[in-house]
Amino acid sequence: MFISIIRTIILYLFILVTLRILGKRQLSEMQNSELVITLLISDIAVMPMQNTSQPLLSGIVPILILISLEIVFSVIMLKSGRFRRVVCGAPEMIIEDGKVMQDQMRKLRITTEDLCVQLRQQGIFSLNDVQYCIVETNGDISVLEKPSKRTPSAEEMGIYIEDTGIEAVVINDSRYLSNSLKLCNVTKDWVDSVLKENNISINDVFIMTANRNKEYNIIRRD
Amino acid sequence: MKQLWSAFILVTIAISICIYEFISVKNSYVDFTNIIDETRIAIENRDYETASKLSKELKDSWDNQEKKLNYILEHTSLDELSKDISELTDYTNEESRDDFLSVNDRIKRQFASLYASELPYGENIF
Repeated sequence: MFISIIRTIILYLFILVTLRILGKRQLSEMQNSELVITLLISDIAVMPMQNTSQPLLSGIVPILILISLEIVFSVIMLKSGRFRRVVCGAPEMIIEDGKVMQDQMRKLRITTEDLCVQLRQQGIFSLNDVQYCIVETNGDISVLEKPSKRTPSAEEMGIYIEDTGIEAVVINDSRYLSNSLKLCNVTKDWVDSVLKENNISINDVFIMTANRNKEYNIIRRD
Repeated sequence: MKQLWSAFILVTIAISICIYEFISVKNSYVDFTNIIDETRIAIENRDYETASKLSKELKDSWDNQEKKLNYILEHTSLDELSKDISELTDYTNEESRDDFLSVNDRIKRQFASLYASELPYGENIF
């Protein structure tokens, strides 16, 4: 049992490192090749975890090869659209100019129930509101509503909205986040001065957010 | 480009481990098969003293090799071999010719099977 524990820890850390090497794409919506890799890695890793008579290397070596294949395939897909289409397919339109393309839906094996579920998850409760609907290569749908149903933008309404820049967490659990400080163009000294102005010690701060306009929000610890 | 280099390094590590495994198993197969053949000849010539010495040499070499092979091969098959090698030593000491020859052949087949299963042949891949 101790061996199982140690192997589990080793494999868990190993998989964390390998997913880090693969990059953020694995954590977001997955393409076919990425889904295959993720499923295979999890299945392969479990075998030496549960069966201590199998050497640990019998799990590690296949995972190394899978990671390498995924990296190589990703690079080839970046360079070659044709290869990408072969591996991942291409986006398919299922509603064009308000008309439901029934042939396409049959080809993609998407039922109207599936379509309605996905539309509702995007806040659209009527098929009549949709002008274009595209099924992406990762299975998600992208929707463009009919003009009369779209939310107008500030530009379309002739309204000027000030750019406040991005708001980021600059203190998390009493710790400064240097990447966020750079993102908001603020310094640690400025953060300290704000805390001093508000009579708060950094140890009492649960979260502090700020933006480039030096607007901030502080949430104290309970 | 950096990612391709990472992939290249990972593949190199994986292939190096495979090459090390193959060479270890091959060397074990060659070394132990030689000792087993010599021991068989000694038993057939009823030279039990030489056979006993060779069996002990086999057991000692195996005890050393087994630790290394445990990192790369399945433990169940190695445990089987350990058991048979211990039996071989006992039969040599008891001068049980027939039992010895039977276990001797079994050990040789097991080593051959371990080695053959590492070769990248069609029957192993599929």
